[in-house]
Amino acid sequence: MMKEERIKFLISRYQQGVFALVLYLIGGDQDKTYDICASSFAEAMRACSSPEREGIFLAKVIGIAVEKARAIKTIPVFKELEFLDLPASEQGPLRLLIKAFWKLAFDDKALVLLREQLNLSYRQIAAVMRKTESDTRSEVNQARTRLREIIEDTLKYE
Amino acid sequence: MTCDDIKARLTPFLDDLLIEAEYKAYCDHLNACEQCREHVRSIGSLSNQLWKLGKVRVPEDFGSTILYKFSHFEQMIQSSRVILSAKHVMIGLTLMLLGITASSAIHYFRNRQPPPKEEDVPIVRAQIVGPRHPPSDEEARILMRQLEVIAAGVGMLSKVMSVEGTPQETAAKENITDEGIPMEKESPVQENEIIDFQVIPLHWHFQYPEETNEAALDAKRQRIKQQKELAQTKLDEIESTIRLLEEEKEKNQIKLGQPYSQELKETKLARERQIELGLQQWAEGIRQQNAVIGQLEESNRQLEFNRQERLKEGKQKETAHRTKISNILNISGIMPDYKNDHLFVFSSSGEKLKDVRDQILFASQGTSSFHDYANGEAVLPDREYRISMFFDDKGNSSFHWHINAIRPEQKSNLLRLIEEKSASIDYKSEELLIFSVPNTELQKLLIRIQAAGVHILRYGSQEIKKDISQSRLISISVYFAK
Repeated sequence: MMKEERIKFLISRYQQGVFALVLYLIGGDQDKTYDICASSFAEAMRACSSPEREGIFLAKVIGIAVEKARAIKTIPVFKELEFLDLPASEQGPLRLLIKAFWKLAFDDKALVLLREQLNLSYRQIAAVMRKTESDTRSEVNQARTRLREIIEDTLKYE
Repeated sequence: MTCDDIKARLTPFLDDLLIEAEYKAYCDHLNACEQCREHVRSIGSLSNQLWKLGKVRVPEDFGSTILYKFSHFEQMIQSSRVILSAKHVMIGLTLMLLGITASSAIHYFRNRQPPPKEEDVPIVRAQIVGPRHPPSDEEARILMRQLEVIAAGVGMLSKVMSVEGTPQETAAKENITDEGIPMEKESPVQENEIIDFQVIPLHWHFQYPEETNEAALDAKRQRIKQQKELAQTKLDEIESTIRLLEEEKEKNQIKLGQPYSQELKETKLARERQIELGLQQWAEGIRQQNAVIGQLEESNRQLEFNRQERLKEGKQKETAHRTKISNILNISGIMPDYKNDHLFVFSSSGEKLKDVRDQILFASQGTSSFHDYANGEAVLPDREYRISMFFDDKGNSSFHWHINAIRPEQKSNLLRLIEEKSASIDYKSEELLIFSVPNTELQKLLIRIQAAGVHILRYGSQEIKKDISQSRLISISVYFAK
């Protein structure tokens, strides 16, 4: 069982990253994101006995959250970017990026987010996604390329 | 380079994978073409803003909800376990009862004695109401047997009940290190192991991006090689054609003193002219093919040169980054205990460490990615820390091992073993040892250490990459806990 102080520390450290990960994976539904993240954290805490093993904890939280998000079928609804903690002036260009991002396949989204946003190493991503490290490396690059292609297409019609 | 080329090579350009000549051509086109410039800028800037997606607003009650779910979840799990495993409990209880009944029956039949005589009764009664007498050997054996049967039943029951196993078991099954990475087979991590370090070791890894894309380079090399082979084949064909023509020319020559008719003479002369023309054309072909081969060789040389240049640039950036970090340490009054091209080791109080870490993080932006192992952010101000900073690139790998409390003779044996296998010991103190070992010797060393019964917790790069030289030295730092 983990100590409460340690739990609070881990929550504060990783809540934003995991919340953002799930939010973009399931297409911007904040309520579902909230539920998925909260239960993922709770399950991961139950599974991790030692508070010192932060790496295991993070891998477990992300692994559970990704699987839960994968199981949920949602259609991305493009609402106001009320969930972004950025000034309105910076939100404009991101609107296009998010729109393009939601057109990516689930695994592509997960790979790009784990690498670019949570800054995980390829080994950690490989562990979470249950792939080999070299596959992960190339798939992350392919996902980035696909995202750029989608952005390119989106720009054409904007 | 055309506008289509610009679009086709956008991804390698944004990932900085173009060779120098291509990169220059790309930039030249961008400078000249307003439309392409705008296109690249818009896509490049958008895809580089992915990190901003992480800036989401998390509801304030999120933490408390998790804590509630966690505690509630525990209760739910416990109650659901009770309900779900009722069947298993029944099986267990039945087994226990069967065991107890069987052993009691055996006991009864083995120790069946005639009923006590009348005069013995008071003594028996006195024994019952008085303090318990210690059991006889036979009684103790029977009692133990009964307890074993019960324990076996309980053991089976608990195995049936624990569907997932304890978290430690799960972690051990998955073979996950503290970095959350599956690792190759090695000495198992002991359960509930607490390492008491007087000076807490922390590990920071800086990973520099690869300055060359070896896969793309290999593809280019291959392409050039194929083109060169094609050109060489053509050259060979031309040369053989020329040889045939020369042979024909020799046969076709008008020899003196031979009675040629006028018609034959003219035919021979016409053919000779044709052959001469053909020879001239084929000679031109040879020059062209030689020029193609020359160009391909030049491209190959250029490719290698660019690769070296990029590697050199990368090295310069890395050196500048290390110098910056060294300066930050100096300004903060921290003197490194040990320092080489790939590793800095220094000690600091937790209070100072936080500031230094922030400064180093700021200085590392855009140069390297920073990985902080062993809870570097959770430093306590009143504790002493020893920090190993590893600067990893493709040509370098660093491991760090933690060795838990071991006996002095074990430690001396271990040191002897390392000295035998390693090329050099870089730093040695009571708590820390840094040594280098050839790639080929590492596995052998590990096996010997494990065979000696020393338990190592391994961190950092876990596997030796196949694409790197087997004879390369790998730097390993070992922390001895007291």
